Parts: sequence; structure tokens; C-alpha cells
Amino acid sequence: MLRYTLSRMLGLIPTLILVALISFFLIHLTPGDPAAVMLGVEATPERVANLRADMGLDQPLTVQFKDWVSSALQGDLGNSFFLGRPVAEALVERLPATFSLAVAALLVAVIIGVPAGIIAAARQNSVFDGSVMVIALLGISVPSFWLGLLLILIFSVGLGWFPTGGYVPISEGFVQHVKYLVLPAVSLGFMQAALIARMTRASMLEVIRKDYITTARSKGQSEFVVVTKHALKNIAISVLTVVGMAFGILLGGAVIVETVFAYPGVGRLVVQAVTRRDYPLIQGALLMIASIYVIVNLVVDLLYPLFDPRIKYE
Amino acid sequence: MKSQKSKLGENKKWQRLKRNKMAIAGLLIICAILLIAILAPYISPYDPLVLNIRSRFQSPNSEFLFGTDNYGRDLFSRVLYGARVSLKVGVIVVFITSALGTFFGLIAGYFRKLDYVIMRVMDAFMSFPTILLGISIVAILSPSEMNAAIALSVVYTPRTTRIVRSAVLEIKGSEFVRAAKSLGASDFRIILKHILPNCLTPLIVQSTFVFAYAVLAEASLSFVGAGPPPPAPSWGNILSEGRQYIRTAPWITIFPGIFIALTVLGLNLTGDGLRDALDPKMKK
Repeated sequence: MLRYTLSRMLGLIPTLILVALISFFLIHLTPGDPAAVMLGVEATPERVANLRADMGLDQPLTVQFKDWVSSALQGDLGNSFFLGRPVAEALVERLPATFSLAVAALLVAVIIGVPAGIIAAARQNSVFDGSVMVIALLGISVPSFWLGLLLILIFSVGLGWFPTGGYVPISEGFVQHVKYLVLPAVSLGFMQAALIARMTRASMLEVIRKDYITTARSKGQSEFVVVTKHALKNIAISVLTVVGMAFGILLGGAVIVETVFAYPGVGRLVVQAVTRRDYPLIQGALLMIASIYVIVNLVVDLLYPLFDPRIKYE
Repeated sequence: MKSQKSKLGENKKWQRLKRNKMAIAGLLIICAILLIAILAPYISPYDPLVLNIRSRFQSPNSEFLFGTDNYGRDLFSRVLYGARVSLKVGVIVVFITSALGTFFGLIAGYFRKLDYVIMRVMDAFMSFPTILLGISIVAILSPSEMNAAIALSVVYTPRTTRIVRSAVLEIKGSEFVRAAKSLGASDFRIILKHILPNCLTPLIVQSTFVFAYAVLAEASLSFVGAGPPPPAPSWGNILSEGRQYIRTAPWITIFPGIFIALTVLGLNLTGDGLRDALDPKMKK
């Protein structure tokens, strides 16, 4: 297991190098000089030259990339042009809020999605099954930011139950923290809940036709036991895969929902960086979030044997 | 004889699709949105760009079906025109991702030596959250309709590549490909004549879903200002403008969202239906 984990970690290196390459070279696709673009049309040539030197743009590309990666490995992602502070610092400061939101959204997705999928499959073609499938179809069709706006309209503006936006850190009180988290988490988690429900239902339907399920039934076991004890175990892997993917998606997918709820996470920071063309910040955020995604996926893979003893990593 | 047989197969697929009521509903929705987009200049009651300060913030009424916005522009006309942006971006994205995804997928699936390199690059691209990568690319290229389409094509090509590649891998080992090879057919001929036609089914299904993703993603990009710049109406930027007035004029937020959801729903229904009809074995 240890050897397998190590080899998988080594296997990540090429992907991470490519992720770094993409994050780095993306800004060099800018038509023209990134420094000039960042400063705008009114900038004097001296200011542009200064910024170029500051960002290292006057160096050859290979040197720039090497410098960027070696600093990044030491936790230095350069300086944000508009915030006037280190990119890494700004990102790390925003990470807890985004993390909180992603976890809350994932909870919403799993708590709704998994049981809905299981029950729908267990009662295939029933009214419940039909309703779940229709709601799930709507769930994957409705943009999460629009759902967020509707939730604000109903639950904040209309009923006044939740704030329209903002964020309270968990250190300043759990109840307040959750209160600010509910609407963004629901709007973000709903689409994932829909995906998870569809996926869970499909795997469940596949498993439920297998011989061993028929055997279990013919032994006179109750449908509840058949589903929870026999079927559930065998869909755990596919559910785990979707849930793992969902978490990665949620971490980065919060970009738009964070904007809707004026939620001070990484996503909103990136949107601001995009409007201000703060390239070092964009680069840093891309690198950080993609790396987290890659690592989360590895962790999910390594968790497989815990859920399915037939899978053994040697 | 052979062509007759395959024609029968086609008929059967079409029958299966026709029997799927959900898929037909999806197709009808798509056709309706397409018609709206094409006919927008003829059916919109007002010019979507003309400001009319006197009729600002009117709630939906018989004169302004969907109400008006903060500049007094007719929302109904703006939403109709918005269909053009969404569908145009969607079509361009489908076109580019299908072309690139097929190209890379065929190469990766057929030539084992290139497989590793191509797929690692695709994996790396897929490690970036779609919207984040999309808005970053648009930020670099400058916001416009075309650049949004380019950005989303970069985002979705790896997924199509993966699907085509796995189809190639499945077909590559089959008897008829080996037979063609032993008869001395060139790689180029085998790929084009034998492998490509067999990748089309998964490609068509995938393209329908890419279309749906692209419409959703374009709305998201426009919403944060990384789509076609105002005043040109797109569903995303109407929503973004309306957001500030959600307390006083919620209709500006509600209508464009309904159209986005309807379009994506139509595409998803069609995609599900096509998948079941064309290839019952295939799963998403």
C-alpha cells in the first residue's frame, strides 16, 4: 500500500508540471505585452518597463518559468499587482471561506443526492422515481448562480430568513457561520446533488439485477436489508468517485456563486483579478486550485480499498 | 445487401428515439429556441438596445411582456436576442471541440506512443475547474463572444478527446480492423475508413452534452463580465445587470434564467435520448 501510494504520488509529477506550464504560459497568450495590458493605455513607457522588470518579463521565457516554479515550490507566487501584497498570502487568506463553502455544498449534494438515487432505484418507475429524475434533470439544467439569485429573492428578500450575502468566519460563532453559508451552499450543491442522484440511481439499477441480489431476496431478506446490506456496498465505489469529483468541482466552481453572494472566497478574488487583469494572481489561483484538485483525486483513489475490499493496492 | 442492413439499423435507432417522449420534448425545445434566435429581429417588439428612460423598471405588462430594465429597454426583446449569443457560442464550441477532440482522440487511441503524452496534457487541462480556466483565458484574450467560445473550447476539448479515445481503443482490437491491417491498409486509411465512422455515435451524444455545458458556461462567463460586453444582450449579462435590482425589479433576473434553464434542459433531454437510442450500452 505504501509503495503504491508513493508510486501514485510520483505519477502526479508530470501532471503537476503540465498544470504549472499551462498556468504559466496562459498569460503569455496575451496579445501584446502583459505589462502594458495590465497598466492600461495611459501608462508611460517607463512604468511599463518597470513592471516588466518587476514581473521578470524581460527575462527569457525558460528563465521566467524556472524562477516562477522554484519560487512557487517555496510558497512564493509573486506579488499581486492590484492588492500590493504576495499572491500566496491573499489566496491562503481566502482559502478557508472557499473550503467551508465547498464542504457545505458537498454535504448538501451527498445528503440529498445519494438517498434520492438509492430510493429512486429501489422503487424504479414509481412516482418517487419519476419525481427524482425530473428534479435531477432540472438540477443539471439550472445555472447555479441563477438558482442563487432565486434563493436570495425568496429566502432573503421575501422571507428574510437568511442574509443576502457575506461571510462570518467559523471562529466568530458557528450558528452565524452556517447562516451565511446555507444559501450559497444550496445553490452550489444542488447541481452536484442532481448529478450524484442520477449516478447513484444508475449504478444501483445495475447492481440490483445481479444474481446475488436475487439470491438475497429469495432467502427472504427484507428489501431494506437487500438494499442497505448487499447493494449499497457494491455501489460505494462509483458513488465515491462522483463525490470526489464533485468536491474538486465545488472548490473551483464556487467562482460564480461566490460573486452572487459577495462571499469572500478564492473564486471572487479571481473574478476581481480577471476584471483588473491581475495576471500574477490569476496564475497563482489556477496553479493552486488545479493542484488541490489533482491531490483530492489521488486521495479518492487511495480510499477505494476502504470501501471495496476486492480492490487491493500492492 | 450491406447498405440495406445498415439502413434498417438507422431506422431502428430513429424509431427508438421517436418513442422516447422526453427526447422529443427536448428536440422541440431546442427547435423553438433556435427559431427564436433566427427570427429575433422579426419577432421582437422593440429594439433591444434602444434606451427609454421614461419606461424604466416596468413590471411585466401587456406592452412590455417581460417588463423593462434600468434603462427602460424591453426585456422580452433582449431575451430573444440573447438566444443568438448563447446558441452561437454553443455551436462554435461544439464545432471546435468535436474537431479537436476527434483529432486528438483518434491519435491518442490509435498510436500508443503518443497516447501517454496527449492524455497527460488533457488530464492537466481537466484539473482546472471549467469556469475558472474559462474566465482566465477570456481575461487574457479580452472579453468577447468569440473569445468566450475559444476559451470554452479549450475547456471542453479534453473531455471529448477522452470519449473518442476510448471508442478508438474499443474498435482497434476488433476483427475487421485487424483484417484491414493484415491486408496492408495504411494507418491513415484504417483510421479514416474503419475507426472514425465507429466513433461517431459517442461523439454525437457527447456533442449534445458539450452544447448544454457551453450554454451554461457562457451564461456564467457573461455573468461575471467575461462574455460579450454590454450593451449587446446575452442571457448572462442581462442577469448580471439585473442582479443589482433584484429587490425592486426581480423580473430582470427571472426571465433570462428561465431561458437558460430551458435551453440546457432541452439539450440534456436530447442528449439522454440520443444516448439511449443510438447506443443503449453507453453510459455517461
